[in-house]
Amino acid sequence: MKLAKIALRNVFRNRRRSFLSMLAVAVAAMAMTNMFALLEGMKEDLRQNTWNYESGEVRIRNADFDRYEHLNPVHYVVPDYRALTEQLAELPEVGAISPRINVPGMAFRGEEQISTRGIGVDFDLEAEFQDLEGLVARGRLPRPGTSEAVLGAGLARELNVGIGDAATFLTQTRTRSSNAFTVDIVGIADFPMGGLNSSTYILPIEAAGRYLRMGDASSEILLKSSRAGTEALEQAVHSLLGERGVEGMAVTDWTQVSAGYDYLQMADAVYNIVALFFFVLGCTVIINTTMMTIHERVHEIGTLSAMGMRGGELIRLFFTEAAYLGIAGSLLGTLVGVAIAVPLGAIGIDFGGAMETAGMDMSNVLHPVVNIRSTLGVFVFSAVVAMAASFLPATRAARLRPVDALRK
Amino acid sequence: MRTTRTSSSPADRIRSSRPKRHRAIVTALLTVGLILTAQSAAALTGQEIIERLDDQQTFETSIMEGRMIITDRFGDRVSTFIAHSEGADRFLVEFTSRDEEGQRVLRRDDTIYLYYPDARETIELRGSALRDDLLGSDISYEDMTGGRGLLEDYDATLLDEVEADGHNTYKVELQARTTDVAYPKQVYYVDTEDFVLRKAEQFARGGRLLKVTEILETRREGEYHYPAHIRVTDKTRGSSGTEMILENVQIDVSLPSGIFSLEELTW
Repeated sequence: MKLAKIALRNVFRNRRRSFLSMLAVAVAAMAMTNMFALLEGMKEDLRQNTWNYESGEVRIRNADFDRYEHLNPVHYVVPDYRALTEQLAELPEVGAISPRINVPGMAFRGEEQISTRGIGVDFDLEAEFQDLEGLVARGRLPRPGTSEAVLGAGLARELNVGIGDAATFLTQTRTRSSNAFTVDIVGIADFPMGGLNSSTYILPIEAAGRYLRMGDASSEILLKSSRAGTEALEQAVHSLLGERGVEGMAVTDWTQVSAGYDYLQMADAVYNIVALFFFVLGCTVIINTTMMTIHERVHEIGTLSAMGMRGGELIRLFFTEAAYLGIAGSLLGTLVGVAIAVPLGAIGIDFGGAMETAGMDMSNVLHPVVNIRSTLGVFVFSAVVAMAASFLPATRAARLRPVDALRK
Repeated sequence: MRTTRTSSSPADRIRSSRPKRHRAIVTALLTVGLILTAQSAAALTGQEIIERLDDQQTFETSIMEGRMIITDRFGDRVSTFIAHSEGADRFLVEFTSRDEEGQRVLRRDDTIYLYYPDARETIELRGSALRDDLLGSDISYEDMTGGRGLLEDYDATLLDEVEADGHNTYKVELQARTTDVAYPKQVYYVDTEDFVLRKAEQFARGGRLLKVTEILETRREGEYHYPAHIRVTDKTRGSSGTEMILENVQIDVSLPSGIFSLEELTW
């Protein structure tokens, strides 16, 4: 208790120096809080985009499609998708379901060919699966059973078309032949990813099926879990397919599909190393400050030693001082970091086209997410590292003999 | 004893010797003619060979019915078609098989128009798009619909006389004069007897083999002699090839008026 008081008094004795030490820890903690919030936001964004536009949380697709995906084998389908969708929807593990027909193809503008990707969806089911309505920047969603479509804003710009115009796309059919069809544009969508914006359009699943000669088949069925979680959902789907005797289907969870997921796993590890690097930098300031303190307070150390304070107590004294600075600095840094990350999370950070070139399913605008666990981790880690940094100079101070200390 | 002179007068001799001299002159002329003919055939240039090939294969008008067998790693599929042509620049193909019924490809000069019953507008292909594959086959739109004569775009050089698929052929190299062609270099194997194409190889600029066209069967129709069963293999796709078989060919027939118009295409 006495040591704690002495340590606190010492912290306030040279306020400027203490403030600088605390600031070094605070800056490192703040940077890390924001970095982890951004990483968390990227993860969440990638997850949402992968779930909504690529694979769902769990995807059912013809296993041979996966095998020959590079050849665009439209003829490998999920047969009798309507009946299967109805049965899947009854599973308690299923939160939302979206059967889809993907329409690979191209559009033409003069001599220019533009690669396009149509997604045929069931608008009733899709409303539960994702907020499609929220994506429509202008106009409205297509009506089921019509030849209407919503075009990504970038694609509409490329084709020089708008609401009320028509667009024609050339595609491949289930019979591996080609077909072209015309859709009426009733809406312009603002997809979160630039890549989607410049190539994607959404049309009713019945129209897509008709143009691709799909019969009763769909390209895939995407699922999101209720509260059961990904693993339980995957198992339940496997069981249902087994019971129905549906063979040749691949049931895949999103982490196996998303190319960006592996990248983020790696980024997670890299960011931890970067965090350590930040703290090492911060610690050099603390070590430097503590050493300067010790150097300036050699007489005091000598006096304290002469009065009977032992080496261990001296170490604890300097350690406690560093703990005050570390805890205060990391608390300040973490709070400032949270204070920056929360509004940024609401507003979002616009990375423009940078994310398109990253080759990941990430939105152009990212929203940092403050994760309590990682934020607490940053706080504890900052404080502990700051305290640990004081150990070396404190040990040196404890080794000083009172006579030598008083002579200096 | 009376002796009979059988000697003839100079005039008689001249008279009697005329047919012999005529025969000799005719024989000499024929020999010279034959030698000249032989020499002219032997001296055919690459350009002349390609001209004669073009003449064999370019019809004033034609109607052809046939089928295309496309083979890839997923199996075979068959598309049937009926094609109309006028000269080298106008060509209309209409597919009649169930999966492609009503789809039409029209070539007018250097532009290809695609009509699909599900589309309300035609698709216009120009430039590099002409090299896209037709119905996922090894044959491009340009390959299918022909186009202007080879000699407009290529310089032809006779390389050799070689045997190709059991036929004596002229091996003619075609080097593109322009970059606006699908194949910068082609090698044609043209039959030395009837100037019908027996085989063709298409190469990229760097010399990579792109496609091989093999003529599996030819057919004579009046003065024309044309390939009736072709196999095209796109070597860049590792596919098993696409066969085109002409089953019913009518040459120099009258075609419905306006058949090559855009209005007719969408009608």
